[in-house]
Amino acid sequence: MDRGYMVRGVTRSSFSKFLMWILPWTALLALGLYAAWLCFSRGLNQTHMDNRFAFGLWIFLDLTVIALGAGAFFTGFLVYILKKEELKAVINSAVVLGFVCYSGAVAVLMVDVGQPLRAWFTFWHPNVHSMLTEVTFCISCYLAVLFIEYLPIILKNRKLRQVPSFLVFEFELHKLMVVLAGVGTILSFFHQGSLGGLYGVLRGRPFAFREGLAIWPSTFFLFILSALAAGPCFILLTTWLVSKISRKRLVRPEVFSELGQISGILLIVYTLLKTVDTLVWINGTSPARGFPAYQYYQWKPFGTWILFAEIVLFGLLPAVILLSRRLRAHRGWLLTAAVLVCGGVALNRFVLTIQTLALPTLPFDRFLSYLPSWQETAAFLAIVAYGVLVYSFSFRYLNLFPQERELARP
Amino acid sequence: MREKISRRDLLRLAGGSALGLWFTPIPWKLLDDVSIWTQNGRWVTSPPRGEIQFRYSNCTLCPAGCGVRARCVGGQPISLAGIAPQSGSRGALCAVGLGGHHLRYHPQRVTQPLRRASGISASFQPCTPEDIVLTVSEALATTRASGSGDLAAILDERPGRVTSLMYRNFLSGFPNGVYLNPVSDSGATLHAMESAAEKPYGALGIDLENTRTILSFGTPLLDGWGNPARLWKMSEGLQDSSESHLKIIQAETHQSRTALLADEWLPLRPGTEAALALGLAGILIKEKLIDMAALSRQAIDLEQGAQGSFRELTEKFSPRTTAAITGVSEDKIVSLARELVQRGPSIVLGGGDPGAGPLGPEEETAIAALNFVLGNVGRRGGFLPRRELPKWLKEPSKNLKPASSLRDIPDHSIRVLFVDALPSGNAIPWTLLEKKLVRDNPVVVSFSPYLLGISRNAQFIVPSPVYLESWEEVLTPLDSPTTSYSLSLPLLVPPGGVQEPFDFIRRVAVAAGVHLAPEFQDVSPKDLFKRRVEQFHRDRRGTIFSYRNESETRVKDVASADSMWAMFCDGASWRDDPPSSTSPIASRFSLLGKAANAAERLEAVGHGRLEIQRDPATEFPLVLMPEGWRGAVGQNGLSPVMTKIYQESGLRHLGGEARVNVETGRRWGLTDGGPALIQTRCGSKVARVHFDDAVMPEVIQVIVGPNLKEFHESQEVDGRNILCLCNLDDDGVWRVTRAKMSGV
Amino acid sequence: MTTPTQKKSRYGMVIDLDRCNGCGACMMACAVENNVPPAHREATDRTGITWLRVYRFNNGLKFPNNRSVFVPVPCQQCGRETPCVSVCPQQAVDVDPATGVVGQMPERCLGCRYCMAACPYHARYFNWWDAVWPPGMEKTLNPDVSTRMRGVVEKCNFCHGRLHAARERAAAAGRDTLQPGEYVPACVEACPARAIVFGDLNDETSEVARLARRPEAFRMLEQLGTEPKIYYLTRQSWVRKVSEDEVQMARKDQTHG
Repeated sequence: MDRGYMVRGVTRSSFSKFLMWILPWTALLALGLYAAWLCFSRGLNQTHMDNRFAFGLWIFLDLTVIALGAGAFFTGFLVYILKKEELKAVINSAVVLGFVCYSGAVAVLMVDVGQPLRAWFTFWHPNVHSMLTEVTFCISCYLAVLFIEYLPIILKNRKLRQVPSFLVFEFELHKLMVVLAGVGTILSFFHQGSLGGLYGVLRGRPFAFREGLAIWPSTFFLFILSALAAGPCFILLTTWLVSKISRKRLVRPEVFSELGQISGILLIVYTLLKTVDTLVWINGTSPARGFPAYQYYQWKPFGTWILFAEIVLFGLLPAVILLSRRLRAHRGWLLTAAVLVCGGVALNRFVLTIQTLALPTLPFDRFLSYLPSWQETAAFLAIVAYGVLVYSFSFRYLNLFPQERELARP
Repeated sequence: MREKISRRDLLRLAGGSALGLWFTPIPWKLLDDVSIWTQNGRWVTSPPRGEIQFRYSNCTLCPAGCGVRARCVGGQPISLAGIAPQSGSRGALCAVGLGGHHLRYHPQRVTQPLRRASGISASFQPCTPEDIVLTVSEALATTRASGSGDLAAILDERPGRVTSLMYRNFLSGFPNGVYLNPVSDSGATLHAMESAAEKPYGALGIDLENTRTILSFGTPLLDGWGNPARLWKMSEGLQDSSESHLKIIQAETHQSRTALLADEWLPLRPGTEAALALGLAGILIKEKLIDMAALSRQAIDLEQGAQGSFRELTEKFSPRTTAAITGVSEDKIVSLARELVQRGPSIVLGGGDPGAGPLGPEEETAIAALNFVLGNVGRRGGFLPRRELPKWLKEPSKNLKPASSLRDIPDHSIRVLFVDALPSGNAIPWTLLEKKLVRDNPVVVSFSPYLLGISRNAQFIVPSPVYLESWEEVLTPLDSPTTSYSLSLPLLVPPGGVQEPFDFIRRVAVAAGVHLAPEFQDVSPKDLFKRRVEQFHRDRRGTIFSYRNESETRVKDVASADSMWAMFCDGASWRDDPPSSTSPIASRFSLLGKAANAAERLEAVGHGRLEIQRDPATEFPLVLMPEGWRGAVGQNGLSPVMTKIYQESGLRHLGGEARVNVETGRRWGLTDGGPALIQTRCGSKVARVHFDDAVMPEVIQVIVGPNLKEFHESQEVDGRNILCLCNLDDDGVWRVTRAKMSGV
Repeated sequence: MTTPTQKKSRYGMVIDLDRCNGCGACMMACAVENNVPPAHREATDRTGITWLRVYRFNNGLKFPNNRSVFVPVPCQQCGRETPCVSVCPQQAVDVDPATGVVGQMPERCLGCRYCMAACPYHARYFNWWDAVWPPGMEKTLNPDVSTRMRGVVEKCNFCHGRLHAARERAAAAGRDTLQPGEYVPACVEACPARAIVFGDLNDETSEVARLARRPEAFRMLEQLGTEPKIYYLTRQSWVRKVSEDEVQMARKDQTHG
């Protein structure tokens, strides 16, 4: 029944099947919206955060999705600035993913703050020394950029194209893409870095605090690198997942390999720098502030295994896989590595957000634990559901994978 | 230029305006207003405005009676502070007192008479004062009936007030009337010495300013005892190496807050205070460390008295025996005895924990005896008798019922019991009162501003005014060697329906046909206080300290009784002249006390409280020991802001919670912060357990304190608190109970 | 209105831990002075609001060698690279150059709680619930301090209302500087043990400056380099190690898990 809205030359499942697919996600989204409403109307006591665990699941989610969403700007950068034409196959999908990740993050942030009505104060009375100010400015600007990048993809929809002015508008927008990609890259560099800086500047939390270059702590650069490495892998994973679920061939195999290789190169650099950073921190930064680093790992369950996992299991290992042409060519290895990379970036964000707050600073402090409430979990899942829904609609009605039509031809 | 304005133009205008609007201040101003609006909406409470002034009063939340400066807005107190020169500490008050002005708004406040619906666990329903007067006077009539052994009693936790005299006068109208002294006595040591004198000394106070050493058997000297400001001032050099400072040696089972700050803490096995006191006295006598001639001269029963020989008794508590009983090493006991002499003047105090109740008559006697042996009565740095308040009433003793102790009342004999509202700061176990009530339909009337503590178990609640709502007297703190007097003033008007206990008893008297003395007829307590103050002026004794200008005036120099009254009404305290001499008092005393079988009982309890000795350790291997904090033992309301201390920081544990040694807790399968079932012969209760190595192994320290629910509105509060698990000895002691514990 | 304080002050406290018995009077006085509402029914020690919180800390030894100390922890008023100031995205936190007091403007606060994550002393508190007083009790609020709403962060500001009142009194008396003792936070006034001494650390002759120089004085987490203005005094060496490494080892024994 909605055939007329779909991209010419590709097939999609029946409308009823599509309805069955989106129904549970919509339900999840509704539940999350209810949880968010509870938080708005009754306050953040609906969460299990507290004065000591001032940040919880949501901040972890924000940091992770924004890292994963880095694929959007990075692919844009590769395609439009470095002219890596073969990645055009995934650029549309990457933009949608980026938009989903960033808008989701901003939405959950609005629930997370105690006074969302005052969110604009940051623009009105900005504290230029705060990493969070930088993050707020860059993310909101970049979200606008993503929206503008998303717009032409929407306007290319078969039905919308029939409006002539839309077509003109879309054409004009398209010419802007190079500029947008450039702006997006700069903005993204800053906010990805600032998100890392967010924790790196916490001099009161020696577990997170890092020395750095000029005004930026080392986590600033590590976050950029890890996001750059994770972005392509996330695109790779989602593309594979969508192709599995829709049972369609969406891109040529070389694209996967290309994404993997780019990620691998960045990951090995990241792993190297992360190792250096960790060593400097263990032997210098942390003890100098009165906290020998071994202490951090004496609290169960956060033993030294977490360091090993972060650097070797989720860093070195996938980097080696991705850099090896032979392993990369093997779909199983490639996907495993991609999962490890995305998992690694999530683990890194988890360590910085959750472990930092769990560790005691005062001598009479205790090691704290925190378990999110159902409202927090529901809001978290709603963001996932939101992402799935936006992507599903985009996939069904928009041209996310230009190669799909060619590959579908017999 | 005659173009027609098209729809498109209008749309353009609208679009342009919408875009242009963002470049004007309008949206930004609107946003700003939104933020201001969110801060000032109806849902954000705003403080009251008005003229700020200071008013003065005295605290009645415990018998210490600190002077209070109330900062008021439009007459409404908004914060309380102490009187700097009086307390010697810039205006300190205790946490309970600092929230005194909130009590009027307590969530458990009662403002109309209540009657219990039926049964012990049922709820309360409103009634009229007439209902209560009728029921009570009928019940009182039955106690008067010939042959009835039933008693009519008033429990007065703050004796010595004008209202107390009226109670005694009222009770004298009943052949079976009993006027009851407080259930636990913070000044038990002093009173034990007073009662051991052959000729009465009068009330004793402590010459703390000249004392160098205090051996305290669990007296919470630094956590709410006597006059706290004075004790804090004296303890300034604590743990100092200097020789002159006041040294505190705290002997008690757990490490209390006083023990923590004391120079030394001696962990005593539960219930073994008598042994240590007797052991120390024994060393002093055996080693002749004291003036033996003076002791032999003054003590009736050092060698042989009607009750036996104190020396013989102490010989049974050699250092070795004492060490075995108390758990304190033999060397320590001997060196402590010597230190008491070498670092004199040293005094010994015992008991006074607001939750643990009395130490016991035997322990009190043993501690009093140790003080006598040290020659402490009437000496500098020891105990000095203080003068009585000026007499203002021709107190014909036949018209005033003498005071009795609840210990001496037979079980199941009280038919009508009135419980006065003014708190002593100490806990009252309901089981203790229940045991004394007749089995069939006793009538318990509680004068209380709150539905808390004893009130929860009463049949009737007469709503009484809270602190700062009524005139009340503040008498001498128990430790003071000089008599003092001040008034608590009504800074607030009580809500309608509230009844002064004074007025209510007068109504009952009329209904029951009791003729009160003329002094108590047609007067208010305030009139009587004024008469008392006029008497001060007539006696020309002492000085009066005015809070507002922080100045002291000799009573002699006050122009008239009226101007003296005016000073009291603006916040003032009267203090007697210091005693002229501190010469030893001639009266002889009994070391073994006056009770029958004193030596035998003392010897028996000397081996530890009988409850400790009684049970085979296998059934109830642990010992339950209650502890409390003055004014916060669940008997009365606390400011809801006290939740900062209890709920939001855990600085103090809530009533019913338990502390156990880490090893003990683990051995009994408990988890820190988790629930445990505590069982004794008297019952069982589930309590939250905190692991704490300041608690002796095998001991369960239970907190007698506020229930979390009582801070929050419309919550049912259980009237039977943790004290219901405590074993009640025949002598009214509940501080040690054999118990066991298991995880839930 | 002119500010009478011309000279730059650096207000601070010295808290004698050997005199603190954890009675709670300071916490109570603080809440009363600053219109901090009573706890919500569901509040815990991790969601409550206690601008000044007294912690109990022990040496980890077994009975009878176990010793505890009570540590009152208000905002430590960090004087250098104040961790909470630089992180706030909208300048709701500032350091008053005239007094050195770290101020919090709840009206400006967005409730992002970044400052709470930044504070190593956990001296910042979030309003998880609406501030509610039992009926009638709002009449007992202090007119010098505005109440806060749900969703914002608040903390100790050395009783800012009292500073203003003291300055007004001084100005009325024609003085442009405050005399020692004229301005004292509520907790200092309320402490029955006189364990807290407050004053200007810049004034070499003040009692607070003299005590802060004593060898028994230390600051918590001094090595972080944030120059807190709360000093603690103790003659018990195990307590003094609070700011040193060893304690970090000792505390592991107390915590299980």
